[in-house]
Amino acid sequence: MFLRLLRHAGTGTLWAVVVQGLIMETLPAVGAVATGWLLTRLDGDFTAPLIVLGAVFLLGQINGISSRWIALLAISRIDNHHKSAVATVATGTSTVEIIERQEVQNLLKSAAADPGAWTEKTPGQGALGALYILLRYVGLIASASVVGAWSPWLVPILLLPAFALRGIVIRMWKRHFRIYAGGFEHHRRYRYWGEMPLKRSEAKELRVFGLSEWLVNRHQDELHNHLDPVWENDRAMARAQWRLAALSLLPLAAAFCAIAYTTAAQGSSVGVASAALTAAWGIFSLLASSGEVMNMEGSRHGITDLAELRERLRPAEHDRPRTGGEPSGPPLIRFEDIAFGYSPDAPVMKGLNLDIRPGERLAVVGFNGAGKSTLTKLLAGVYRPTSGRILADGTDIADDPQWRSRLAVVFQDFIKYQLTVAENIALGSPGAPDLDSIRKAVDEAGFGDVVDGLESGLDTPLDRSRTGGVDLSGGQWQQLALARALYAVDRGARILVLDEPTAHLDVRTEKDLFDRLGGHDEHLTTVLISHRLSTVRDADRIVLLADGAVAESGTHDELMALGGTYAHMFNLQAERYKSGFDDRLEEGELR
Amino acid sequence: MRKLRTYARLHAELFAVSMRIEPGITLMMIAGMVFGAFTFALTAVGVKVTVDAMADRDTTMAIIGGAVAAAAYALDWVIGALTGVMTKMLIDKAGHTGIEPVVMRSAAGVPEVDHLEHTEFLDRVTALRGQSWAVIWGFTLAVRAIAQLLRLILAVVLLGSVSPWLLLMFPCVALQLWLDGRGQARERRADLALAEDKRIQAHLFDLCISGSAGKEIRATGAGPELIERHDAAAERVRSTRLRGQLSGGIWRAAGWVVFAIGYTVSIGFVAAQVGRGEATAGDVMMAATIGALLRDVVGQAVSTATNASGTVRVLEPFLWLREYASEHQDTEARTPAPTRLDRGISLRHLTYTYRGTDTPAVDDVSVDIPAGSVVAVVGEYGSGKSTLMKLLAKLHRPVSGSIQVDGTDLAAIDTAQWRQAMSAAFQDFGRYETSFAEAITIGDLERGGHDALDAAVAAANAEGLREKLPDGDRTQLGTKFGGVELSEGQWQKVALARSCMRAEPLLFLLDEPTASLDAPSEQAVFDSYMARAKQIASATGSITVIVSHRFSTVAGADLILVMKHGRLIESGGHEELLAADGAYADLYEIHATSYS
Repeated sequence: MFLRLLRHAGTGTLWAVVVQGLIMETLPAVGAVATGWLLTRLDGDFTAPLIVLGAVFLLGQINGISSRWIALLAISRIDNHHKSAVATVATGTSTVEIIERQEVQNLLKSAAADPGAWTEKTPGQGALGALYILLRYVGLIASASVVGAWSPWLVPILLLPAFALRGIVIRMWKRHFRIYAGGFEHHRRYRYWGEMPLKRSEAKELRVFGLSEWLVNRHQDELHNHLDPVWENDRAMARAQWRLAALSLLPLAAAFCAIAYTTAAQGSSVGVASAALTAAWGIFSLLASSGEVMNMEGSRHGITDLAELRERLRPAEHDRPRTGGEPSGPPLIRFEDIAFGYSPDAPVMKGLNLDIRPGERLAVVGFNGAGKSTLTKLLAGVYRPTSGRILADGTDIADDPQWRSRLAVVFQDFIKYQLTVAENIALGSPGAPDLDSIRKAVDEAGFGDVVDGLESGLDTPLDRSRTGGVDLSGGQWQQLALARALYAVDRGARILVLDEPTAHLDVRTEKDLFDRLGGHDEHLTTVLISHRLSTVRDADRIVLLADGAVAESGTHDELMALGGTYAHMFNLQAERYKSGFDDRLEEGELR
Repeated sequence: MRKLRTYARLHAELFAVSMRIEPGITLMMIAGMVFGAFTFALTAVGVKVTVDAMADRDTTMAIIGGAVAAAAYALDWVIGALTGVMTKMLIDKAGHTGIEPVVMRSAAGVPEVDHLEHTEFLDRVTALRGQSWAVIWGFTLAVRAIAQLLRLILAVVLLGSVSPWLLLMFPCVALQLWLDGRGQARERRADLALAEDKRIQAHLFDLCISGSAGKEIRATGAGPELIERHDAAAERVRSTRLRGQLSGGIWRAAGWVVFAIGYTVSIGFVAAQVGRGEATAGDVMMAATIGALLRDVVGQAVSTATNASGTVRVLEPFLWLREYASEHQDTEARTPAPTRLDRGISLRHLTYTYRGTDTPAVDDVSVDIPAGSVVAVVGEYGSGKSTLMKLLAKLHRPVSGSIQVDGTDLAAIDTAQWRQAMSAAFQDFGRYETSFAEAITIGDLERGGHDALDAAVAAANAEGLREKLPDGDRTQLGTKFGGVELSEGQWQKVALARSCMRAEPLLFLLDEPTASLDAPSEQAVFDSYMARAKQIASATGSITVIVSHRFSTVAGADLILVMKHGRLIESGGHEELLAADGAYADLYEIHATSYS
């Protein structure tokens, strides 16, 4: 699993890692031999062994530094590849329904493998760790040969306990990471509360309601839920160290004493004996180090979670990258008996039937939670109805790979990219950005004055944390989101869907905007969702959603004449300032 | 020097924090690090004795030496592992439970919110976010550095006892550490340079895996381009870091060349002494062993130094934040908050300018708000309405002028008590992804309870929402933790209900309370607010201030304040202002014609 990731590191880099790893692992044995050689030549000319010893030493260090660099090169390649793969898998499904699921979000966050604690490692670190462990065996063979040269029967005496030691260390860390990963849900909540004081909206409420200590407690509760078992395990690991002490002390003492006694008793070569001493220790230090094991175990969840995500989030087959295509006119859109709910027991749509005619300016109104925004999401195809179909000129939009390129949507929670103004707009439509189009969209959305006021104009990054960046207000962002959609319209989209596009704008700005939007005529179908009834009254048709279906449909005047829910809603909004206006009485009489 | 003292004091404090949280583990960790220095020396002595005994054919000493060396090796390793586990645990525990709350309080405990818009504050908090453990790590590294110094001293004593020539290694060590420091500086510079790209990468990645952003990414087909940008940012981060590490690595390599020469030459001197009978083979073996161990010590010292200088990136912000928080506590605000209003609230030449801007957001505003009144603030966006609201909540400190509450300067009134006596719903309300009940009852932690919740839900006209929740009041809100997704308007209702938790606030601030609500909801909310406002007003003289773009809401207020570019340009009742035919009448006309 880990080793398979290595292919993303690049062949040359990988060879460099292997060669350097081999040098690193065999040098202790070579050093031991060199030391022994030096000791045998002390009475004569020891220049050669001394130089070898020094060279081995220097080579070890230089190799250490360069291998760290090469390892970083390999790790960062693997990690970047991994991150890119997670992002690709996450954006590859045709609907968002599945990635909003709790377990999938957990998987995504965990697969992101952002080390947020020092026990968390990246896939690159894990992959290199696995490789180094393999190379370690080469070093082990080298050291074992030096010991074996002195006496073969010492080799198993040292190797067996060393392997046992290693087994225990691995088991300990595996268990540790299992416990750690088990409470990951709490960890996410812990982080969520931890970021709360920095959110500007929440910060005001935290102060007004005096929530500072409540927040700290909430945060600490989640922490203890997550880490108390981990800390319990830490203590257990500390207590278990005596076993490791015994496992290393006994065989090592036996080997050392045997070598020292025999050499002293028989008067054999001190040099060879010294080399054996050094190599014996080398066997233990090679097998007992836990760094690679930690790297592997700490990164395991990131790798397996990506694999699981790949399994669960198969990209929809018809979601091919879009080609430009010849822009045709807006289609007839038909909602056919649509039923939908975010959870099975809470249906939002219950048999919705609605035709949207080409070039029509349709307004959708309704109470909060009546399903207005859901309509947008279904139309954009990011959710699929549980039953019923949405047809565009007779074709189910679920089967039309080009569907989304014909659509420009401003969602209520549109994205605020921390990129430049131009990039923010260009991301409204795939393909290379078109500057003239962007400028046109900016002006049409009424955002031109804001852009002209910026120091770098369209190239200004929209986040204060970026060099030369600025923060926009809520209303300005809304204008920008509109510009993004209008850009898509300019690039060939024929249906414009606006979900509450002006909630943060004042009356005057809103009015100007809608006056300008009026100029698109029959080449564009506009669907406007608003709760502000004064803004929708000029629409060709207004539909009122209630209880998951269309309750009323018609022009403003027709609906007012009908005297139903729409008229009631409209009058409520009108009534507030009616008192100051005599000429509003006639509308009140319609009720 | 001052810096050194500051850090010494900080480490002493971190020691105290560690001792408070895990006294046993802290002491054992320190003991382990110190003891490790002696087992290190013992290994070298053990090896020397063994080799000498072998050369002298002294079997007893050979066995003793072998046993001592083996024990020292094993001990050194086990103590190292044990210390590692202890250190890890201490870093985790003291970092998360001792440091993280301090960081949170520094952001949440400052009375005003100005700091959340200051880059120097945000940068430091960003540096610390999720990194609190590194503060304690910095402390453990300081302890480790002392233990390593001890190892070095022991090495000096042992090597000096064999042959003064071996002390040659030390100037080499010093030179090597210096060269290494230069290398580190390069690497740090590269790390600073890549911070922005790193943030962009993280931002784009978060968008890619988010459900709410996912809708738009799919609808616009921006996915491949986002990933392309993400990968490009990641690649820039990678190449900047690699370049930094490369130039740093060259300095380091130069350092090790120096050390290796020193090592080889000094062993050569000892070996020469053996030839002259001035030293033994054991001495050479010890020199080689200590030299090799010294290499580890130096290597560790270098990485400790790298890490320690790395932890400066969290220690500096940590110190700064604490100082900021302690400097910004309001110590002068001691007057208890009033329990009722008799005269009302008066603004006197109230002025506030956001830092980094030249034009005041609220500019020389003077007005009397009588006790028991409902006040509406209108004006185009950016006219200073929200800032005025925040000034009333003491969320900003006026640059000049003042707010008088029954004749007492608001700045002198105890901030916590003042807030206890008020409530507010802001335009950019908070979204708490927790249970429905909790998201509302936190509006009044002292009251809580079922009845209060029922009343608040009713006042915000949120009963319909409450009935639809699958798990009732325990329903998890928001998709982050698998709860139900709420629409803008539904979130707003939750925020409104929260602001209604306090039964009788003296000051009630409503900043665009119904922007995302449908007409009947708006009507119901507005009616219930007006009723509430009037009812509590008669009891305690309380004041309600509403910011709204909707004239339907505004017309019913007792007093209307019209703001433009931070200034108060008109004030009075609805009829009065219409008659005056000024800015208010103008704005009203636009809105009204859209309904007629």
